[in-house]
Amino acid sequence: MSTELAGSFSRSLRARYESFKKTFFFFTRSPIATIGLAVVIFYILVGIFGPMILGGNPWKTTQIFEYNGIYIYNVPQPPSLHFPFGTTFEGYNLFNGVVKAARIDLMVAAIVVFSGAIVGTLLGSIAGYKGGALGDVIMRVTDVFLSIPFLVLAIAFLVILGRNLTVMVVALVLIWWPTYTRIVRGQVLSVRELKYVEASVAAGASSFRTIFKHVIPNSIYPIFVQVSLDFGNVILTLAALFYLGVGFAGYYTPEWGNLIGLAASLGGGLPAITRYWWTVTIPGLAILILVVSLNLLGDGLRDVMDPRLRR
Amino acid sequence: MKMYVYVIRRLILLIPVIIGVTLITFALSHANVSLLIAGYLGRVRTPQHIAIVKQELHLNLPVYEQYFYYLGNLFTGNWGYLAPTEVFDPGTPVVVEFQRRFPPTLELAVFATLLVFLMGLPLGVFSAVKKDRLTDQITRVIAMTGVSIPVFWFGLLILIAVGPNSILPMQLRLVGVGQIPPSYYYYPHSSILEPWVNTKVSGLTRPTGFLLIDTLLYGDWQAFLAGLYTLFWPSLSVAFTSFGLIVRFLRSSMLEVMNQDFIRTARSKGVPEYFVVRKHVRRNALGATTTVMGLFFAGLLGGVVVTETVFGWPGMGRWLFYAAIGGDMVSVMATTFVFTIVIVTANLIVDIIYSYLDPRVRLE
Amino acid sequence: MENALTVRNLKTQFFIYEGVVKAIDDVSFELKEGEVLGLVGETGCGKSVTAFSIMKLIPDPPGRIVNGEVFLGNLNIMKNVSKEARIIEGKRVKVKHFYSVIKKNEYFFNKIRGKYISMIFQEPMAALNPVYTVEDQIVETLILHNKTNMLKIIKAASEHMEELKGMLEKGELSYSGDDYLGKEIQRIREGNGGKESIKRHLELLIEEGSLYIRRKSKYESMLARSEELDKLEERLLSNITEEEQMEIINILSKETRKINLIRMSKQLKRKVRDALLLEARREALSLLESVEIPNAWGVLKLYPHELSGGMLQRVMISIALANNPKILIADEPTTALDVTVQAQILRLLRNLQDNLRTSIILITHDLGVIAETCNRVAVMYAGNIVETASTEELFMNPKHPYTIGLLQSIPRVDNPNKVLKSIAGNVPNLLNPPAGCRFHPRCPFVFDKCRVEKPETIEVSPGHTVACHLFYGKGVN
Repeated sequence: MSTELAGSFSRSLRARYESFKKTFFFFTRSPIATIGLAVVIFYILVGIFGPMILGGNPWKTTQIFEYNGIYIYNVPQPPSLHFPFGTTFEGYNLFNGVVKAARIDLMVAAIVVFSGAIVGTLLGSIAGYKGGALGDVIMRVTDVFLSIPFLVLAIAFLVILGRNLTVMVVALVLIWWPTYTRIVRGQVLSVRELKYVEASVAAGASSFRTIFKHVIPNSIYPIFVQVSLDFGNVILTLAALFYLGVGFAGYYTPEWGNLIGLAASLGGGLPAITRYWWTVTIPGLAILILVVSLNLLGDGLRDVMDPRLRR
Repeated sequence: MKMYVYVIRRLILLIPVIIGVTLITFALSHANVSLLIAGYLGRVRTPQHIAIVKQELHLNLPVYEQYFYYLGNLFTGNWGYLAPTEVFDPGTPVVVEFQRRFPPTLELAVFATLLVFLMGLPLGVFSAVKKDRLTDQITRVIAMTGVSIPVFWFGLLILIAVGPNSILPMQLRLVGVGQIPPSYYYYPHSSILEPWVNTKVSGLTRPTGFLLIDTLLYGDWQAFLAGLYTLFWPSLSVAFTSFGLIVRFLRSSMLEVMNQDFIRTARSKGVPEYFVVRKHVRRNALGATTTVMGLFFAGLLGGVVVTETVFGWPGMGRWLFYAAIGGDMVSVMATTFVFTIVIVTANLIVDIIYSYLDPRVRLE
Repeated sequence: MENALTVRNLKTQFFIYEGVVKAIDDVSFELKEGEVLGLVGETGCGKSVTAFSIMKLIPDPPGRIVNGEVFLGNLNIMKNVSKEARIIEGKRVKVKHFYSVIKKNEYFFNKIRGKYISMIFQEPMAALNPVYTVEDQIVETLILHNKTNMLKIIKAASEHMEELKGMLEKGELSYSGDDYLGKEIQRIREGNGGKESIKRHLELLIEEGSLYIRRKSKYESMLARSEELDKLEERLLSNITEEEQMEIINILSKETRKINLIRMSKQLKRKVRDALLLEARREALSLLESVEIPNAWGVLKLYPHELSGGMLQRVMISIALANNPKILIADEPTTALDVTVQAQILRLLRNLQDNLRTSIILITHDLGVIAETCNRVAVMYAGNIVETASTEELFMNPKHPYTIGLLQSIPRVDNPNKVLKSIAGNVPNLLNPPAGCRFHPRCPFVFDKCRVEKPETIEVSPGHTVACHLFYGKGVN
């Protein structure tokens, strides 16, 4: 009996591996999606190794006061050999900042997205499986949270509860969990309706295990897709929060939105930005490229998972 | 069932959501008591005054009782006073300030939504009908790029291009006060509220608070056109960064509908292809789009907040920004609450439209 | 007498990622006028694909009608279809489409579909658009194809207003003229509606008549134009040169563009002030009555999800027969219905066919349905027609091994043998079908030639053809 089970387990594992290989193969057929994946991996590598290579405090952008005897504190330098991305107001080295920001942005986004996914999935499973009053309450709560605009709730949290990392993560998780709850609950409900699940429950199998045996494989894919899309959205929201000045830590925190905000606030508005356009363009491009790649990745995943849309 | 029955049912379903929202705003506002008290102090700040306010806010009572008083305050309009750190008129009651700030935000949001539909609907339809051909690929790339751009960055880029310091000719720039066409929408620190061009109109009050409507009411055409131009750029900023969601969703829902059997039946009747798409596919696909509307509005309003800050648009978003920086909690909570109500209302309207488009929904 | 429909060497393939699915391979058959031809076979044998190919409803990526001729009467409607795309062989087969040709062909087929050939489908609930009423969907096809007839009825009604009003008062149909109105009255008389319905018909006719009189010039010119277009259409469907074909298609498609189906929908929901729409509505009422739907007037305003499967199937039949098509293709019309309703629908089809002289292709996998309803049968297997014969001949004297297997596998009440016979093996994968005869892996009579060479169709007795090497040389001619 146990060898049977073990055999079937390893067979199902192998089957999963085979189907994963097939999925990966289909994925790489789309050149755009592969580019997305490559860029994302590049950013992750930069985030992990960049600050180490650059040295210095990973939570602060390097500030440079003078260079070659010239006092450059308040005058942003254009990109050059010594300052690959130039400097921004108050002498912050843009290259330094952008690279270090990769780590911070990715880390915070990862924490937020994964926590949100886990919390959301749990609540969604409960809502779908138990159903009834508890399920309804959970869904109403998701309705409520989905009615509050993302940025606004985060700002409120940060103002009232203080501007630190914990508050920010909690606020963002609160914003993002409802989507996963909806997805998972939908999956659980539709799996429950499947005839063979009904049949196996009637035959005596525990409904809990049967349902989850089928729910998890089916919902992993939409959750993956959602995770990669949400990553992008979280990063955008983070950048916006920092730009507005409600992020944690101070002026010198390496974070892409913060760097753009520096130009806007410290530089004194539009004339400065127009003249020293690289202070704004470059960090923005860093965000744009990453989020586009994340979206490409998500779209690629979605195209691969959905057999109808396959070419 | 009839439409109005469905509407009433929907309205009733609204109540738990609103209660939920008030619970959250209540919890948040009472989380940081010192900020809360500061919000209701107004101009006088003596210790006795603080004690009086504490009494008024019933801070000594158990939590659930506080909630009821909070609800009472909410519905009677007692939302506190602007903190002294406010750049404009500190100390005014929040409700009054709100009347001044709401119309511009609504204007911007509505205009942006219009732009989104104008841009997104045709592109979504084209993209689905000409699937995998060149139009489709280009549209998807544009839509995806749009959604990936940080709103504030896009706004800054627009300002670099058409702001006062741009290289474009004078007529095309968004300029500040005192120049023609005049616009107070750029300078963030101005409190001069006069967008008029026609000198005869100068000095009159603003009846509705909506730039476009007011200028129309007074027949000041130049100001109307200038206002349209001024309104266009921030709306574009918001619209371009949100319309990708609509395009992507409309495309996938149209593709799903086009695979259905009844489309084949319509074709077998000899209905020409453009009518198959316009009559049979579109209505079914649009109905499904409503499910994504809630998310869409939430994102849109977030974009509005940021865009108002960047462009200096005097609406609730910018108010929220200054309040957030200055630690003015009551303003923050008030704007949060109002934004949420706006989204809830928008969802309601969209649901009603959906039930008009798809009669099957009314059965539920 | 020529056939209603002749299909020769039809070949349809689907170009998907994994390769090319050779769904239909050289299918040829004939549909004689006024007969019911059954197309029978297992799931996946290509019956539905054949039907869709005839009407050119194959979704274009990924499918393509690669080759073949389909003669509607003596006109080959598939003449330009092979020019629509070019198939490039290579490591992966690619299809290059010529969209202008496709568009032109679409315009052409839009004239044929719904008017000369129409179709009913398997799942009635899914086959009707859920957001439009029954009335809307019937009127749609009438407005597209049947204007002239309706306008003539309205005109005739307007010329006999007094008689109509008299009939309404007395409550009886006492008209004896021989024109369009007379024919229509005859039809109403033969219809199944009761007094209520007769009253409705008359009321509608009177309203139409008065609307016609009020805007006489508008309707007269509409009628004249409609007759012109009809003549053009007739010309289009005869054997003319390409240039003339292009010209006529251009004119006709411009005319069709002027019909706004969306506005029509909206008008139907409110008070209708257009005589043509009223007549369409009245015609829809007649149609529903002719398919034996009770309370037809009420049903008009309902949505598809408010009706049962049997009723919806009747609605579909009424839509398909609205313009008196020469050919009706019924794709498994009763598979999704329960048995009692099935019998009703089949009986209905036979009756309608007797009245209207439509030729029907009935697609099914149920041999019982074939036995009851069809004059002749064609048996399909894996994209080929393996045998055609009259129904009686097929059941009495099946020749092809597959047919024999099929007939043997039907469980019989009078056979005490408890073991059900089935045909060994599985339906082949059409990506890589077996070489030679596609049935050879499962055939109990297989020999060497079967594995290599595709059998040709041999006529073993008048009207009875088989595609099998066993009968090589035994043909009648």
